[in-house]
Amino acid sequence: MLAASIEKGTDYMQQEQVLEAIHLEKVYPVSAGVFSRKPLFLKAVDDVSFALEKGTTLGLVGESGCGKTTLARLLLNLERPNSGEVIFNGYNIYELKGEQKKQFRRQVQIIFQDPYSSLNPRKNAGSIIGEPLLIHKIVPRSEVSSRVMQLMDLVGLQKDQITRYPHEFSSGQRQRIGIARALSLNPQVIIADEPVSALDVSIQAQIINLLQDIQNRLNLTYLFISHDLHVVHHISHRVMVMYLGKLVEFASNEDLYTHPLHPYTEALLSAAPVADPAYNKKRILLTGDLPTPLNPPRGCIFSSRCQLMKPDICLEKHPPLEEKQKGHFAACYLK
Amino acid sequence: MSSPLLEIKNLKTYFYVREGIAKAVDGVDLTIDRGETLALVGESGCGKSVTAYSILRLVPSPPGKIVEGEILFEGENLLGLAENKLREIRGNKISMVFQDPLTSLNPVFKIGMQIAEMLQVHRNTPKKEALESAVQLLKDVGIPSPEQRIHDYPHQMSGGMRQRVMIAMALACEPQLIIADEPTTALDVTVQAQILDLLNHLKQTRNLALLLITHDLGIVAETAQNVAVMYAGRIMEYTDVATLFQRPLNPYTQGLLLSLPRPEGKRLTPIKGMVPPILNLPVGCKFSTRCPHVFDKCTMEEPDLINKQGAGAKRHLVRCWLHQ
Repeated sequence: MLAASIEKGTDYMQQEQVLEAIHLEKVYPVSAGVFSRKPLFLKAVDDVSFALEKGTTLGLVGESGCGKTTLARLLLNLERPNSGEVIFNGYNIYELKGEQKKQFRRQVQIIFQDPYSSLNPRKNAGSIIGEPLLIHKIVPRSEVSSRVMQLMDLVGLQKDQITRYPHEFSSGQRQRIGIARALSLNPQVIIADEPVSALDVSIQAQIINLLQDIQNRLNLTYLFISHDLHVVHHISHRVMVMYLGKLVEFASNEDLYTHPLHPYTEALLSAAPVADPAYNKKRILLTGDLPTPLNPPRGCIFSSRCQLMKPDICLEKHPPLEEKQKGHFAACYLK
Repeated sequence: MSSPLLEIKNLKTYFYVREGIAKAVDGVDLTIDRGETLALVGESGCGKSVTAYSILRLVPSPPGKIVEGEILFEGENLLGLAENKLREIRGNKISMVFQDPLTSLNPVFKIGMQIAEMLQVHRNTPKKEALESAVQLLKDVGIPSPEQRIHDYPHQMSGGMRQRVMIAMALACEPQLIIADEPTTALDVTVQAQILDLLNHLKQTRNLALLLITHDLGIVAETAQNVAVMYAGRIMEYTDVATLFQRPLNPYTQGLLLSLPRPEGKRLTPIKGMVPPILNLPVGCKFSTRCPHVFDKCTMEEPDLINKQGAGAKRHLVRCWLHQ
């Protein structure tokens, strides 16, 4: 673990926290039908706490509907939580106003999954990347285009592509535009929501390398959201696993992938196909589907699909996220 | 040695669009034996789906047209068949599983009816018996309490369940070949594992052949016996799975494998540049614009797909000037 952390150029122990989420909870009311009087509630994010450490990447994995994207939107202050807070630079981001709120918006940026729908088709690359600069008055209008070219160079786009429109770019290049736009305000934190999921494997590798390069150059902090376990393993320093809105495991990259403690993490890891026919692994097949978050299982939320489930222990209450080994948290009674 | 179940010879499927002729599939040869799983792998736009759709002549025409080639299924050329004869093969002897089960199932019919329809159309089975078979098929694909579930509409099921229904429909007439076009791409990883496990199990118990179209090399490694790598409408490499992963010969295959994220966290080596536009492919080798080993000859003349057998591999076809 130490060797790996040196290779990645970081040391976990002496990291400064840049953004901290404390007991975040987000509940959406859902219509239960026209004739129903009682509204249903969907707990999209349920008591999630963690911190982003400066210059490192925190990976977030989970299946669709587990609350990954809702969590990202909460951290960006695009949604307000029902309870809990997010501390950035010593302030709760949900209480920021005016100039301070604008400051926060500059510091925390997002890269979206789909580079087709997240770029305005009627604006050229230069205006897309330059717009945040104008809105936040980062540089005088006369210097915008030179700054845009600088950013395009940083993300590996040609300067003469500045007047081209999104449809003239390939999906990998569009994702580069999205990255340049996120970088334009010199943010400290970038939240990347499935940034490589829509890309082919050879292009995916280019974008992963790019994200790592700019992290090293600009000392950026990433929250990297993905459903692809191999990509998260490659890029992250620490990883957390979400299931039905709750964090079930949180550990350093090496610990989580070499000896996962939560049965759900184990099943996820064993389900991911490995591109090596000689690799002989034992697959843990989960039975059934993801339960609906409207009606989560009683007790431990994973109990309905868990192979190790013990009715007398697991069906009482959801287990707390506890530190089972140094720096390795899991929410399971049995480990 | 018996003759192969399906043999594709020099298949060319072109699309005639305003801007020119898009040669989506340009001279593809493949064979599938009974009980074999062949994976067709490549990045988006390489022609893998068009190849599969061409087998059952499902390519929309116009603009698409199969301009050349033969598709022999049990010795019979599907491209020469009359439409009503072909209909006896589609869904009956060769069936398909599509990527997105939500758009491939009819939202206004109960799933039991949709499965039963297969048998009513192809076998003239009476409705009552067909529905009984539907229950059995749902049981075979691992859907709990199938007697009740046949009355569900597609929207009442989860994505994994819907894909199981699609597979049940594909199995209804006991086909010899299933073409699965990215069958798990829309699914979560734990559900994907269930579906791949189901396909493997069905294949073994029913001696099915499977043409698996995917972009995921992990799935190829875990489910297929043979694999063909496609790029720009051509097969670049075609061999058994073990050989492909241990000794890839074509620089494109090598590039794909090196692009995969690896646990060691070392820097990835992506393939430089991007896929050339299909209407404007380079002269010579189609990979020459991105190949790290490119030399003069590559940009002038296109190499043939030749057999570099040896070191245990019976068939190791590769299209590259380095190996001619």
